[in-house]
Amino acid sequence: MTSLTARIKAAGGRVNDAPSGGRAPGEPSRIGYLYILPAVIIYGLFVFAPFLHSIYLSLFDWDGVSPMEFVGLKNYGAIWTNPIFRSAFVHSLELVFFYTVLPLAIGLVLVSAIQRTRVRGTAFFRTALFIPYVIAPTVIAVIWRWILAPKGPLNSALDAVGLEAISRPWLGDFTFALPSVGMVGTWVMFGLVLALLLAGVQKIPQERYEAARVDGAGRWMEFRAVTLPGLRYEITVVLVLTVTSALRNFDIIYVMTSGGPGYATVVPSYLVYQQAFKVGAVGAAAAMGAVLVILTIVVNLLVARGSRGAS
Amino acid sequence: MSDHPENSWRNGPGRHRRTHWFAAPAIGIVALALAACGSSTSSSSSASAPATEAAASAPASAAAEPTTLWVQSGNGGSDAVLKAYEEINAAFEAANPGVSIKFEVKGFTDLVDTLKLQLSGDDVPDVTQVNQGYGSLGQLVGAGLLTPLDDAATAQDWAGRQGESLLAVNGRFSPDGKTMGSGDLYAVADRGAWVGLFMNVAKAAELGISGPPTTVDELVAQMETAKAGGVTPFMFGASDGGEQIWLMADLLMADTSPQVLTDVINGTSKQLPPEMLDVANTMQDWAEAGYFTEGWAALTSTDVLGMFAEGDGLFSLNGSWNVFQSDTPENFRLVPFPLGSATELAAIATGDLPWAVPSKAKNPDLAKKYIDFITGPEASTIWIKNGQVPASVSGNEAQEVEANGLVGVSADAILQWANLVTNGTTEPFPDWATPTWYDTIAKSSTALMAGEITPQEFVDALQADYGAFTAERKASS
Repeated sequence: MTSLTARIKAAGGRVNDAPSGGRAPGEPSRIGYLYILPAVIIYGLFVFAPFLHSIYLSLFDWDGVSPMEFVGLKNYGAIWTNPIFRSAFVHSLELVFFYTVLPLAIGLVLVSAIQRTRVRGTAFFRTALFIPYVIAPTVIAVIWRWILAPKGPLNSALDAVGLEAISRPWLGDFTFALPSVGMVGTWVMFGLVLALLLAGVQKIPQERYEAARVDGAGRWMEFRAVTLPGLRYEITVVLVLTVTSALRNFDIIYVMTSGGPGYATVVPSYLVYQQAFKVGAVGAAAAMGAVLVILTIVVNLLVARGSRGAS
Repeated sequence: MSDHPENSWRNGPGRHRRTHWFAAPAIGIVALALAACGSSTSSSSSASAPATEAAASAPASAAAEPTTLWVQSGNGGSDAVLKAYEEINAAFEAANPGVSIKFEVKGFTDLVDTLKLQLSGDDVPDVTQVNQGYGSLGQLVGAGLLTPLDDAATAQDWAGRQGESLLAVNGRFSPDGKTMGSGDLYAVADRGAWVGLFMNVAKAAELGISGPPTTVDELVAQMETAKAGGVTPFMFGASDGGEQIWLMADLLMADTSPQVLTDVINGTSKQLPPEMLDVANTMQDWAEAGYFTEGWAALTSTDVLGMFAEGDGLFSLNGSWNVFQSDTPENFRLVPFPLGSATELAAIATGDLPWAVPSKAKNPDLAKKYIDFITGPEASTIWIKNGQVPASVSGNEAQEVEANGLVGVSADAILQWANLVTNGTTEPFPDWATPTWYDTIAKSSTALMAGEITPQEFVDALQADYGAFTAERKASS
């Protein structure tokens, strides 16, 4: 009786007969590490090592040229005690509302509406809505600065329809500057969110909706029981992308308000830049950068855990 | 960036470079800037021809081996200035056979943000522009990155050209970088930059106002007249921060004396003068009285100066480096801010980014010669021809301004500068006092003028920043 192995060999084929190192065929081999080595080196060299270096710098009082002076965790303490530094982190969290919560809420409402009625030209709308996300943030900021200027198109439009009471120097108003910048974030992120959700909703089998309807589900129940669970992965992606954008926001703030008026729109990344390059407080900037990175990682871990928990 | 963003946080004359005249074509400006960067490193080849001729006719000793002088400017984006440098460089090469200049141009922010790193390395320019103040020049001096220029200054009598107070303002520091305004000379400016009151005299005449105000009370009365006549009294833009700092300094001088402002900036005392509270009150009052451009908190200083140049408003506070072209130049004047005392003439007046020689420069002597040349009489003529304000005063300004057909604010910028340097006090930019002061004043004063904080809170915020820095500086020096 010839074994299958022997017959294959006889036919000139090759068989992996003695699993080396006690590893079953198809099991991961150590050679895999070699394959990811280039990526690891580049990541380590250009992301991880600088990150560790900036944590090191954050323990010093240093202006960038003079001798460094070790100060321990003083720079971290300053983030907590300095009201401006603290407010920057609060502004960041407010921006999360505009970058994440608002686009997601609008996106979900629209997606569930579209799900019920077939819209012609979906591809066109998807492309159009996605454009803001593709434009360079600096360009977006310049455009919106112009739109929101005291005599810009927005105020002219408001005045033209008799809403002079509402028109104001948006970016110079202590109450409305941050929401104004935030709304730009909503405008940018909304396209991305809707494109992702639309793609996700299309792969939800139509039968589930039919089944739900047979069971007498209303619009809300259908959304909760079918659409929302079906979009779980897309929502996770949306959360990770938008929350990260909100927390690291620099370009739009820098170009639109430079943190003003007063300190009304100061955010951590802006302070990192300002402290490191303008003030010459490299240690303080590094500490703030480290806190920002850690905050971002923690928030993203929570998002990931939340989505796993939901499944 | 622009701007406004713009930050460029020293309130120096370079600041305007990060703001844009018009918001809409900003993309075009970015493209231009990129183009400028691409073509910036050129050893002006057109200039080498006269240099060779000169070399041929020069005595044998001058036919030294060819040297390249690496010059680094932070005036990127200012085409008129760069054009003048081209002419001046050509003249320098002609006067120094065998020398060719490698003229590298950076934007203001680009230069200032990277200078510390660049000069700590080994590959450094022979001569570079730097930014004044504790946060910039002070740190470079303290780290031993610059060479003192006193030997050249004495030999060529730079103090005679520019006045000792201007030299001190732009470039004197103690070697540890802890005391500004005295000590060795590390940097010298080739162009003057001063802050004054732009006035639309045509509009003033319509309103029945006879001439520029000489006291703050008169200024207020004229602003009231303008307001009653439906004209915006004061074109004011706060989003980039410069204007409220200038206004604060000018009001403080008017309320006290130029010396008080000098002491504040040099950090003579840890305590700000009590008159700061009056100044804060005035600033808030003016905003509440509606003297400023509608939406001032969202406008940059270049926004409002652009509107002013088109005929909006009676006054504007801005720098001589921002003099604008107009179809009706005779309608506009640029005068020192009224200090109230007819005998006292003072203004925020310093150099544009001054020139310094890095410690590791390969050709330090030639570099000093270059600085001497661009601040000398031959360069002055070229500066005026290109509508720039030469820092050195020759006494021939009036003729040269007339010969070049300069009128209105362009003429005022040059003539008033010469008058200030000769007969008045030149004051540093107030934010040079501490590295963080620009931001603190800019942001706190916006809050003050918008009524978000009280004058006392404003003074407290400034004092907290100022006191902490002066204390630290005094403790470590």
